[in-house]
Amino acid sequence: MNNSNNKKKSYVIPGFRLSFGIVTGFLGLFVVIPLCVLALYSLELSFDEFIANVTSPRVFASYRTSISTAFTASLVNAVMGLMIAWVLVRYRFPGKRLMDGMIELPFALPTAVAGIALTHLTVTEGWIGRIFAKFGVSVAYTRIGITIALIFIGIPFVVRSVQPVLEKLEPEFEEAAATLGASPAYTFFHVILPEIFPSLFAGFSMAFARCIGEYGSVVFIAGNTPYETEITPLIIMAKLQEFDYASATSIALVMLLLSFFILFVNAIVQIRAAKLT
Amino acid sequence: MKIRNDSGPVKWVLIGISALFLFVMLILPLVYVVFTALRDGLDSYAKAVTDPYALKAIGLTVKVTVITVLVNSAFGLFAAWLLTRYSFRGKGVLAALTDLPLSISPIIAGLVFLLMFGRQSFLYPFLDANNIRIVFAQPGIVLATIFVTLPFISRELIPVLNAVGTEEEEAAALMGAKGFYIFTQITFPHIRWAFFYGVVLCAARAMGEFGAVSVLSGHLNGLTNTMPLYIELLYQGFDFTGAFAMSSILIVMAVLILILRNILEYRGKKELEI
Amino acid sequence: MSGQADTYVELKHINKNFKNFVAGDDITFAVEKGKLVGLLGPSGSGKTTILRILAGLEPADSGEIFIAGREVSHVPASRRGIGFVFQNYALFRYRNVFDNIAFGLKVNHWKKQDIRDRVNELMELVGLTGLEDRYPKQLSGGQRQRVAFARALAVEPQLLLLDEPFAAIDAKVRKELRLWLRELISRVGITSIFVTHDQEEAVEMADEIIIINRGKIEQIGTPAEVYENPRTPFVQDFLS
Repeated sequence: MNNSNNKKKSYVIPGFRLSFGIVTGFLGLFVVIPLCVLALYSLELSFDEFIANVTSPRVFASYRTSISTAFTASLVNAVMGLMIAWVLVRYRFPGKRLMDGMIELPFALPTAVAGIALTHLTVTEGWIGRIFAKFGVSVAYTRIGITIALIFIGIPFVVRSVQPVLEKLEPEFEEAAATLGASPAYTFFHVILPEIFPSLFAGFSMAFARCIGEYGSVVFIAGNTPYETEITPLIIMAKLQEFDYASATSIALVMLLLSFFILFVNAIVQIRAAKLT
Repeated sequence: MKIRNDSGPVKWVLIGISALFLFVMLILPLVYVVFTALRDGLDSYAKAVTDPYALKAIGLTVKVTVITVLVNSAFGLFAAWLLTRYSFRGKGVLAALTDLPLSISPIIAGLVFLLMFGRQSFLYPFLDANNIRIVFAQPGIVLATIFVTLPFISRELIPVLNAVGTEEEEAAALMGAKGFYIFTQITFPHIRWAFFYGVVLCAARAMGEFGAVSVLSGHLNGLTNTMPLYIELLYQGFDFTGAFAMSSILIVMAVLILILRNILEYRGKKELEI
Repeated sequence: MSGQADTYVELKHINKNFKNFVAGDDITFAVEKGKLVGLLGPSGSGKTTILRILAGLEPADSGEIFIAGREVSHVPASRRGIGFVFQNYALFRYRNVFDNIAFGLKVNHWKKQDIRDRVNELMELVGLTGLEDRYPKQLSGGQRQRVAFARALAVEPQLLLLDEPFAAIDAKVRKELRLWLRELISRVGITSIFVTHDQEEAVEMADEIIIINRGKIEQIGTPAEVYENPRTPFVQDFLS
């Protein structure tokens, strides 16, 4: 019993009813009822209409654009985020505090500002776009542009989820592998990576979920060409502007299910990882 | 894992790639915005940010941010307290619901309130009869912003409250202290830095929210345009100097927020060592 | 109602189950007024839970608790007239020594001057005079224990409960502190129950020992009795 005192929840601390009432009331009004309304509203369509809505070619193309760009961006962020977390935890170098301090910039900077700035940088005459143009690659108004905007949005997720885990990793761990004759690369891939994989995956899926729903930073850089660079949130927005609420709602429902699916997969990965330790 | 003092080529290659990546992705856009905003001289910059519509947009953004932070502070404190101080059935569900807005697209967040209070809603006749306008008006903007930033404060508080444990509060309750007194006198000192950090994050997102607000605003210039929406309007009208000038204000805010964040995080870590 | 006139605390058939763990199985015992009783058992035996149930920090699944002849199962912890010393003392880290000790008096609306007098009296009692302005992190383990003790006694409780009072103390000074605490408790004359997993500590401090294993009482008696006549194999094994 000695160790469980801190974990054990007490029933003497006053305020349970008040906080329970406020929290459930608030969540009910702000989260549960709105989402139920969304589900109910989509019931106004018949099943066939619903399917026709969410699988029309243009909508279907938008899923492909959204998922492929969000997935690529999150993959890039998984690699870069892991590297940045590694550098921040492992090495001492000038400017380290600055580097650590700016990771959250995408949380602090309004997405629309990031969107227009990245667009202007990557058009063919922009500071970055010029370089790519030499190789005949255009960035802005293509899927590459969307991916870059999403990379910007997702940077903090992987770094901040891997960093604390790396910090807690005991050095003996690696030293043990080294004394057994493992090369640094072997140690990294076979000893360290499995340890941090759950946090890496958590960061990846948070970034992925966020990127799929992202609107503000993407809408400027995407160019929004139907079938090519039109993301799903933009389709919903367009339907709303045409007052076609039924279609908007059914597409939103599909997106919502997709987010839940990502959350679900991540939960399974985390539970399995917790069981192994 | 300890800091290693090895200085092999791998170290500098990794640092170099990381620094280059962050420079291009994070610093360059900021520099670019400020550069473009000032390109036409300080006069046109000043003119752009003191335009009456610009001022209205700034005012609305401040208003929305303040209301959102107040509401979410109250919710965040209660939710974190509830989820760390008591055990009860359904706690996992409440925790999941609290975090849910993080994984919902802002567009969908806007859409749900549009469906709830818009013209096709069953509530609309009632709202209309009482002359309450929510959709395409300021209340809708506030609602959507609150939804999008709902978990920001509780997420910062929960790990700290769990780490502190419940014994101090139990001791206080045993001596007969009431809930509010315990919270303000005993609990709050432990969580103040995390709380302020949450407030800062919440304010940052509230200020910059675009998608959700975009759905519900109706884009009435001077009335329901927040700063990000006003920037979009300028940008689409090819007034790039204006758009970047307004953006530069938000960039200054973002940098201030980052500095604050680092101070608060440092303070919090220092006090945890007690 | 309790039978004997000098019985101060009585637990009757207390049961408590956690998810996969029995913390209390038909716990029944009585403590006489003014006695110092030790709840002794290995970790995980349920002794801390019994103390917490008695204090009102935890509800029992069933059973009755009497303090001073009054059934208190539904009396809130703050009205049971007890002082509680937590295992890690649970000192308020953001309040100084004075405010820690004065806390219970303040919430019970004592007058300022009375609070000052009472705190000074307690500071003197536990030998901490002069350290009023220190914060818990600036104190040694032993000093923290003294503050926790003074804080628990401040509101003049009739019953003092101590959860592993020496767990957070350096082994070297433990022995010395035991005698000090025992002496102090008898000077204050308060009925006290403490929880420990250390046989030596229990024998040295307690008037009476209650040995608990897996949520069940194995034996009750004076230190001499349980040593000389261990009633179960567990007691024999645990004390040897």
